[in-house]
Amino acid sequence: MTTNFKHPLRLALLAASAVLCFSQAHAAQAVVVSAKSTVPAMTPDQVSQLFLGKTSTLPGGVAAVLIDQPEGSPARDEFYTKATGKNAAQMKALWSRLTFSGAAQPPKVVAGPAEVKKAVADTPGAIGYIDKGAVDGTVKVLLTLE
Amino acid sequence: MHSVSRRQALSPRRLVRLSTAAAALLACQASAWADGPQFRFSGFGTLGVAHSTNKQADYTANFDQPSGPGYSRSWDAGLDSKLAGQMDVTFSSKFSATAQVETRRRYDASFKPDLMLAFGKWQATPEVSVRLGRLPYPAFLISDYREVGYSQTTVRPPVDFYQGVFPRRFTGADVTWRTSVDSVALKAIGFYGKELAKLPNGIEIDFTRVYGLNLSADVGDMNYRISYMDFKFNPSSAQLGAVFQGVAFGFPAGALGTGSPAIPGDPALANAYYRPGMHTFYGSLSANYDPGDWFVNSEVAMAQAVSFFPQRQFYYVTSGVRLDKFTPYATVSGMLAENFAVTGHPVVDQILAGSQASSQRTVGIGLRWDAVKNVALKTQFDSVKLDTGSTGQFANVQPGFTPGSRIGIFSLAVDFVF
Repeated sequence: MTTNFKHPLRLALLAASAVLCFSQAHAAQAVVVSAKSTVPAMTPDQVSQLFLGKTSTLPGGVAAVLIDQPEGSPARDEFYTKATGKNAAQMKALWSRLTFSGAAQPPKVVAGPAEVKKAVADTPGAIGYIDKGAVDGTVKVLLTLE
Repeated sequence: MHSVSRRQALSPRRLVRLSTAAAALLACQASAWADGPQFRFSGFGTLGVAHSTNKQADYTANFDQPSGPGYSRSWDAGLDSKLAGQMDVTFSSKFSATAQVETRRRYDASFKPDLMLAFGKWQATPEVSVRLGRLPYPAFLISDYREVGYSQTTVRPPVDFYQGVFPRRFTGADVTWRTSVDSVALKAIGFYGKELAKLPNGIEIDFTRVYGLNLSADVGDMNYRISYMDFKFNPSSAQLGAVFQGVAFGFPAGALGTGSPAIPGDPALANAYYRPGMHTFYGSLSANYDPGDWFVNSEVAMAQAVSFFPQRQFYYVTSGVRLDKFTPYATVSGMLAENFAVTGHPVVDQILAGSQASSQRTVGIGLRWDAVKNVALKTQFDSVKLDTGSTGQFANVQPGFTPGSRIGIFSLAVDFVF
């Protein structure tokens, strides 16, 4: 998405929206992987099943490493509501099942969108979500949840 | 990695590149930290009280609980209360280990902590994992997280269905294979192992071989599950052993009470109901729908007759509506035990009659309130109706108990995770 940065004005707007993302209650969420990833795109169903722990691989068969934003952050609540139709308590209940039956461990939690971008750039198979406005050339968008 | 040239002006593009480089550097550090084993401690628990309207028998949630509200206590804090801690150690993306210790009311009435889970996991491929050690027994939908109140809408799994399900865990191995075809997520779990299950009154059931297979498919918000489980076991109880010894070799006159006649020995009959290496199986089907705002869960299961356990059918349907932090729900469930053929042996027929007269049905309503983060408050009322002549799945049934009665169970619970 390097084309987003051709206009300084647009960049400034994007930077502003990135700063504002913590206060925005209804920002579109972009599902992102490393810019180098070969995964072409994902359907809403595929993203939902992945983050509900029903599947464990990205399209193409690479083991997925889920990256979450902090509990209670607007981005996290927004993402799960849009991707899975479930609220924070429902997601906690679901991961309690998976954790305490020994089936899976909950996603790795990082501090914010910048850390999500770092994590997906660094880890093969890592997939996270950030405000659409925080998207830059380091990540590839697989799905946008408006 | 982007190089930085002095000739370039401090353009926005260059800033982005600089920050990308910085991010990559930080990420390198992060991955260096992640090299050693990573430890994660978490846990769950429930504080609950329950009351039964019947004072002549105990309501229990699990087959291995020796008592409950009713005869033993008016209000019982031991039916649902529990505390568990779990340590997960991740060695690499392929290897991890898990141990879980739980305290709850056990078969011997104590709350002695128990090692519920202890296993190593090998992620052989992105789609296939193998676990080895002490594992949860994945009989039915809720089986492997039945203790985790917070993860369920109801106070406890439907008792008609889940009360008699054991073993709860086993020692052995399981293999999980997950894949997806278009938008259908598929999962298959095969398991094999053994377990010594301890029950109240000194009864032990040595499952010398348990194995099974369960398959599930997620299609959008629908989930389907099918399972098959097979057991080979040795019953062990001093009391029952002595009774069936009598059946095999005969009871002399007066042995079963003053004036009772002599009963000739019947080794074949004793062997049919009590011997090492008995074999049985369970099968189940489940369908669930959960789009978020409401849900419905349903299961049906069948257990083949074996020993003095009759053929049984189990079912339940639970549905609820999620209204922000409140989830009102209702459950309808039942356990129907079929009748054994009469053997003509007075002692055997008496045991079989007692075992088969256990059919019961329940209608329950409740409310879950996700009051604060990681804590759920629940209240539930169950109306248990015993079939004609049945004492249901109640424990410590007293002589004053009326078979076929309707019994109310009131429960309050606070579930938490940490």
